[in-house]
Amino acid sequence: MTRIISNLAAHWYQSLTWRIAISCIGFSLVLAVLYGAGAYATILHFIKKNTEISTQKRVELTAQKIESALQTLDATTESLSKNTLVVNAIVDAHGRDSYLVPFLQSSRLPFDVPHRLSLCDFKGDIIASSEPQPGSYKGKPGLVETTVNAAKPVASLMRDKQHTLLICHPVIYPATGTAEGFLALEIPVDALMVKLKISLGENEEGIQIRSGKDVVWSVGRPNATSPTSPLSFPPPLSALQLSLSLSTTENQALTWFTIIFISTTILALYLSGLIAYRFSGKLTAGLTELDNAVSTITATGMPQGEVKVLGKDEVGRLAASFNSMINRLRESYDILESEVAERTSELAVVNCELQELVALRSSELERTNNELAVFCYAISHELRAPVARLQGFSDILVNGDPDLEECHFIAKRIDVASKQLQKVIDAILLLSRLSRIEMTLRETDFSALATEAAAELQAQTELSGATVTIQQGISCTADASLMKICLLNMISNALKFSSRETTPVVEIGMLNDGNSCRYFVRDNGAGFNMEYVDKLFVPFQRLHHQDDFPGTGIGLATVQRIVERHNGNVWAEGEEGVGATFWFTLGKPYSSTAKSPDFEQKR
Amino acid sequence: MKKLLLTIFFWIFSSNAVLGAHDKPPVLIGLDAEFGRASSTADDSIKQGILIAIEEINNSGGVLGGRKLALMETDNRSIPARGIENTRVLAENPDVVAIFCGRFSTVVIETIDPIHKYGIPLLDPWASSDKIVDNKRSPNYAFRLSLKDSWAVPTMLAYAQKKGFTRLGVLVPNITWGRGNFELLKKLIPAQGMRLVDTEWFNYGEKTLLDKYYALKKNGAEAIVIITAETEGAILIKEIAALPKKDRLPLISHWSISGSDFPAMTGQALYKVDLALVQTYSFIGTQNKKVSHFMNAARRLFGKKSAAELISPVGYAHAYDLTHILALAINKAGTTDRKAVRNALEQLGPYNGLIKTYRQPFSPTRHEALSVEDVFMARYTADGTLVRIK
Repeated sequence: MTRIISNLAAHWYQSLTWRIAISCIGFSLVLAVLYGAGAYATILHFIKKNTEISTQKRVELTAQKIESALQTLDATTESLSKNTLVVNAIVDAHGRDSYLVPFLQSSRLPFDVPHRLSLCDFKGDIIASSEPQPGSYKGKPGLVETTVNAAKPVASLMRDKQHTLLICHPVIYPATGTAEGFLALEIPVDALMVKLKISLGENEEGIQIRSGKDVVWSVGRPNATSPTSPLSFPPPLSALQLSLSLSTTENQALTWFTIIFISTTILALYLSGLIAYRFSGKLTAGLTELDNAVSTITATGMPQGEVKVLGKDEVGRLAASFNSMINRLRESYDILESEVAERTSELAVVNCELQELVALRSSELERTNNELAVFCYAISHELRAPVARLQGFSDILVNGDPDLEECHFIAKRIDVASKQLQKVIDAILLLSRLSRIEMTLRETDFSALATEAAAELQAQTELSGATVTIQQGISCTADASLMKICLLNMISNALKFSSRETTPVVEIGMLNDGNSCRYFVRDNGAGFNMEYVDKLFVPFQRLHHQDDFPGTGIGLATVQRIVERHNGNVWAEGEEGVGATFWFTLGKPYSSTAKSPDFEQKR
Repeated sequence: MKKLLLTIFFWIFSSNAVLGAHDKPPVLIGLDAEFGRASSTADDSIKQGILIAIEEINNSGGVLGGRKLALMETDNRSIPARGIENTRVLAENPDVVAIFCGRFSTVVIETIDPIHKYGIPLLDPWASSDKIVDNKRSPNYAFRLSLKDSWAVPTMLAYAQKKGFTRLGVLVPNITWGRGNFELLKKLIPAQGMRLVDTEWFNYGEKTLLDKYYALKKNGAEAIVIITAETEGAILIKEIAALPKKDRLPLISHWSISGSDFPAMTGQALYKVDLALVQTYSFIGTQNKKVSHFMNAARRLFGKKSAAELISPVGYAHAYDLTHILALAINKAGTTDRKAVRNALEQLGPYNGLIKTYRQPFSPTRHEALSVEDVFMARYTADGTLVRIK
């Protein structure tokens, strides 16, 4: 039961169809209870009433049968009692058995039923009988007296443990005009009832006939509580004091009625539930369609499918509206999809660019790390030398015994070494600062910057006797200060390595091949072996001896850092003894603090 | 003084006599007869005959030295069962010394058993069945002073023969008495050279006998011997009287119809039918001292002015003689012991009775006081009296 209730509860909450069906069943049940109880009570009343009436009729019919039979038997007995053979036998003695017994034995009753016909004298002693039997009717109170008083007694008595009805009729002797005996007819009650076909009828479970307080006949299972109806017979049959008790199976009828009612109610409930379920199913079919469509959309995530419009009712209109909504959603989805596709493609592009940038930055980072490692190695190596010299010289001062001149020499060497060390440290610091410095990117007159840088290197220019040519009208998007440092280093480097030429020329310009702008600083100086081009930009890496071309060895590394901050590339082309050209481009700058103008535009 | 003494003595004697008489209980005579049968007069005739005799006996000092006789009657209504019961009642009364029976042989036959069970003498003044006395009992307590069927039948047949009838029909009741008579008739009719053409049985209580009469007549009966009581006899007489004269057959009847006021029952119809019936005594035409004395008593006791008023005369005569005979037996026995009285009845000497002088009323081998010679045919006269047919 709990399981059934829980299942019903689950269905109730989960299914409108079930809810309608259960509601219909519940409503039907309420109706059935209300009307059914009333109808049941009414019909029960009528059943009981009809049962009472039919019982009464049955009792009356049975009473009529019995009365008719008894009256017939009484009339027969009376007729026989007046038969001259009987009368004659009363006054006869020896020899009367020869005719009396055959007469009694051959006497036929109106209906064939076992019986005993006896002629008795005035005392109740049996003179002769249709069946051999001793005894008399003396013991029956009042029988003999009423008989001889010409009454017609009837009585019930027991013979051989069998209830019998006794109908007596006086035998009147005409000569005296008095009753000189009586003719006694005994009929077993059982046989009589069988002959009268008094048996259980429909819906009857027991019949009981009483004579006074004695039960003389019963069939079935009489109910002791069933009402007893006295059988109203005229005298002398009234002396039997017969009463009839009829036990009916009204309960059985009622039980059947109840069973039928309950069965019908259950069947009606079932059918109503079934019909309600099917009807509600039809009602909720549209909702089910909607539900299926929504489930499909939910499952697929796509506004697809179309709900069947099963009518023009609210559900049908809902389905139509839902279809419209789906169509709109589909359109929106398509639009969204296209936008999403577009965005996706854009994102893919951006993603690619980001990936490229990431790759670039990763490579740069790797390179930086490598460069850092190299740089650190170089730094440590570069620093080691002067530090070693300082240490050496110090050691001499400390541990040696230098003289003054030696001390003075040592001091000068220490000064030189310390200054060199200071230069290296400044270069390192400058290189480090270039990685962190905030950049301000804007359109810059490159030619002007180059000119300013050349101006600041005027002394070196004059010293080298170089001709510096700057291409005018070149602009770039860069940080002006950093770009100036870059140009300073590149022009200084160009002036330095072309200083031994007779006519050193330094060119500064830009080439635009349509795809990109390549800036350059060219010289006709010593050039370099292209085998070692990779080392040009490694900090403190020199391709020439320090004494040939003095310097910190950090200039090109600084140029590379600045160009990389501008998201550009720097490379060199050279030839020993011919000269070198240092190219660089300025792309999207990659920096934690830099903001790509393109990216800003896109956003 | 003497006169006073005599008076006193006489008074004492008288008182003693009276007291003595009152001290002795009466000797009861039982009479069980058909008093309830209104049509029967035999019961009354028997009773009155007994009472007349009792008066005489009592007036003569009673029996056993002064004990009076008294009558105790019961009514059997001509029903055997009642006769048996009444016999028991009477016999169980120790003061009843003997029982007189009534008219109906069927009743009396049934009393034979209790009579012998109780051992009380049965004195039969009327019932004629042979079996009453010829009961094969020993000692036999039945004594009859009356007609016997085996005398009546030959007498009737002799009458029929005398009348020239050769073809007789028999109309007989389906009772013991009827069956007994039929046996006699069946045997004696051919023995006397006549032919029994048909026998018709009837039951008491039948409303008509005409069909049986016609059957007898159709079968060629010249006369009909009827054995019947008065009720059915009257029906037959009336039915025959209603027939054309040529269709009326003579009737030769047993005497049971005389146990009633048959002329009154049949009226004028009686005289339209040739009816003869057996009898054993008639007061008509009998003149003697005994008859005169009897008639005086009858007149005095019962208002009978003449013999013609003695309906069922044989009852009177038989009962009267039988009572006297009983008294003689009681005195002879010297006791009311029934067995002694029975024995005494067989030992009596001659008795001069009303009907005749009985040389010895009864003997150990004969308990019939009368004989066939006492039987005769009689006829009703116009005044309703029975007279002997000469």
